Amino acid sequence: MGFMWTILRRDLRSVFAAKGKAPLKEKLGFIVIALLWAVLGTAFGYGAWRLFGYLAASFGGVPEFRSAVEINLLNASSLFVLSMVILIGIQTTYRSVYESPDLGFLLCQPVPVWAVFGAKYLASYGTMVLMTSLHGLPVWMAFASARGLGAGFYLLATAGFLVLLLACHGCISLILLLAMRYLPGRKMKQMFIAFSAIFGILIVIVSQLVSARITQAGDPAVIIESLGKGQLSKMWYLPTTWMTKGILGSLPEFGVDGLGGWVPLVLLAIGSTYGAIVLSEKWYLAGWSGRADELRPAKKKARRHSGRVSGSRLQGVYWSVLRKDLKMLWRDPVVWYSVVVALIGLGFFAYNMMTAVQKGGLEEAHSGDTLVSSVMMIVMPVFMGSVTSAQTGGVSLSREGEAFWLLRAGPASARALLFAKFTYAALPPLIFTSAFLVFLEFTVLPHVSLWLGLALGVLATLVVAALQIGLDVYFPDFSLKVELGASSGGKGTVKILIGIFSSMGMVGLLAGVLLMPLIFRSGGTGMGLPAVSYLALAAMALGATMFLFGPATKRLHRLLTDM
Amino acid sequence: MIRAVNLTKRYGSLAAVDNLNLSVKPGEIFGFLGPNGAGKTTTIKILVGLLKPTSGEAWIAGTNVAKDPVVAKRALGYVPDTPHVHERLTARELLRFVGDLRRIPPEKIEKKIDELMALFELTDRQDELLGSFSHGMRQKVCIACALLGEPRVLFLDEPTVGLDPRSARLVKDILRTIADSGGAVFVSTHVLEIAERMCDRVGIIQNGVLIAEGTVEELRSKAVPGKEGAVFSLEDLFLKLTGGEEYKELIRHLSSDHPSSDRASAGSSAGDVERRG
Repeated sequence: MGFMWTILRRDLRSVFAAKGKAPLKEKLGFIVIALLWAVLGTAFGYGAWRLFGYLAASFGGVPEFRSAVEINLLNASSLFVLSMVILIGIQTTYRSVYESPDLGFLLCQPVPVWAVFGAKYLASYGTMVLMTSLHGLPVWMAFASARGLGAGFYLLATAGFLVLLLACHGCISLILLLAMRYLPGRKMKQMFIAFSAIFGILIVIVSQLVSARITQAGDPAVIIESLGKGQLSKMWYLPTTWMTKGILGSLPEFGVDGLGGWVPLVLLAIGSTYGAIVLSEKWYLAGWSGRADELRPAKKKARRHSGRVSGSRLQGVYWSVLRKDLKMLWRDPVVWYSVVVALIGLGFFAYNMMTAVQKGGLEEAHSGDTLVSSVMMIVMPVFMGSVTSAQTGGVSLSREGEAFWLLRAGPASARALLFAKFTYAALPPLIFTSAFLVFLEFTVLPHVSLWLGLALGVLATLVVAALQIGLDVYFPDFSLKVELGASSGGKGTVKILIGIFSSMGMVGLLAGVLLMPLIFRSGGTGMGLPAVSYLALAAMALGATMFLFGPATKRLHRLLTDM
Repeated sequence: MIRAVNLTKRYGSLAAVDNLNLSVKPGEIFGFLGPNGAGKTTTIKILVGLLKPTSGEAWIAGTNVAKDPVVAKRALGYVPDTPHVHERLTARELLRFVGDLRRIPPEKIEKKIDELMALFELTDRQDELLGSFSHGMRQKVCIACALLGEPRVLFLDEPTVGLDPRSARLVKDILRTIADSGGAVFVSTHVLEIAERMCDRVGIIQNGVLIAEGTVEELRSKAVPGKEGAVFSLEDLFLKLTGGEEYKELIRHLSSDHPSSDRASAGSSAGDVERRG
């Protein structure tokens, strides 16, 4: 055990020492993340507290019904945590246990293998607790607060949450150990990425279905029923159910068998953790050393990668960089994941709007003025496309990574390179907007004319893509490695989140510009947009273009020649 | 072909490169030596236009690198100390990308790729993603990238690290061929044997200052005045010039403490140190 604690202590110390010696900008970034984390947690908790308060006020007279709804809500929040663990926990554990940069050094030392594994196991468990506690704990805390329960319940809920995560983490580690031992590492990683992607898409579809149902229903009873489908008896086999039963077992009014929840949960947590640590002595070293192995592809299959070559292909920095980026994009699972998620979101948006139109809801909401809907039809595809590009083209300079030297050492002009990256960032919103506007032509949804919509969509895309490229040029992170649902490190995740949120802000601003007539109540009847909106949008696009030609190009030139 | 004039690079109060002057003529292989952290990589990065000097000028094939980096880079090839490549491209695709950047006609690119892949014995792997390549194979691909444009000036930062002896020999032969055909080669290395056998002239940098420059013979006479006839290896000269000799006593002391020193009284590492000293 001593070895394990020594390694763990050193890991913790190096994290805090790194933060302590980091430049002020990095320290501030860390503080902002911590604050954001606290604010989001509080917001979740407050929202849940209001909901539980509403239940108490509305159904206080029927305690059985209130308890049943509360159980379902609590179980649903635990299920959400379990989904998150499956979605990102596998990658987090894999990265910590198999990809930590110090593993080569540690495994060469006269230290038992299980101690190295154990230290990394606990480190990834800690990371997982931090990542999921934001969604998992506040709901339980809000429940306890709304019911006025004592401190013991808070401790019990926290313990239940920690044991649940330990059980999940133990099971994930066991699966990883087994898989890494007997399958080639690269193939294994691809399988986990594909599994996470499919699971993530399923979550998006289910959440969008629930959201669509809620949007259409507008009835609190249906909403509650939609959220809380998971009755405990139906899901007896899930560790989340055991946790819910274990914690609620301390409250007699729920009539739940608490021991029946704690016993299997604790046994699973101890058993899986103990099993993983014992088996690591046999399997870990072989799995770690084979993590980069792959089944050598058959020659025929491998040949496919290089593709056909055109003897008259376009050359120069712009075309070669754009072609290279698109080729790499094609082979990147992140892009397919984000495109599918964006398409699902856009599809459900259109479906909800169509249902609302059929019910006459839009006319009621906007007093006969369809301007808001028309603007939404333009900015929504731009937004969905920009979310995709925030993970691909919008950070494509950073994604050059360590191979950026190839461009720096090559005869690459800053302007041509910048416009290649800009084109790449603008492609998803442009494609999404064009396709969506063409689709609208065949629907009853309110919209502006196709050509006007395309013109506005192009201008809006230009502004958003310029913002993303500007952020990437001014704050590049060449260590960024975007993977499904997350990036390689906290810094990368923050960079992508900042890209997404700032794109959201810009799309909001663009929507505001297009809605100016409504805001200032100066006309804007029917589907038309007044000239002031066109002018304002054109001015923003002009500003974005000037920014790209001016400061952004200069900054990129500096990155190319002095970094 | 390569000229550094009063080149200085400062990071705050630290001078990574301090008033460095050197020139490499066409047909010459210049070996750049120095201890770790002496300023070798910084100097190369300034010369190839990846870093701006605090003061001074770098010239490549008659072009001022800071003033016209794109033109200067068109004339040079560069191999970095670590072979980072795009893992989602194949070797052939990466080379095509580099060729397109340099606007080499596509037919010529394909022909040149075939030649380079055959030369580096990568023909069978050229259509596999670079993510599956070993360090040495990536190093070969990086060297191939630098050679693709048939540069007049070639910079290599530790080119033989990670290469097997056969490939290292191949690289040495290629550099000699380039120099013999009128190109200028600037190579930084820790392998003194390479510098001694291959380079026409060498420069030794320490703490950012070029402390010696010339042919190995010239350096010998400068380092050990009055003992021109004595046989000194470049390693001896290097240690003498960079102050490495002071560690010999410590190494001798450590060797005598080591349990194996009792058994290996002759021919041991300690003995080797003694002989070299």
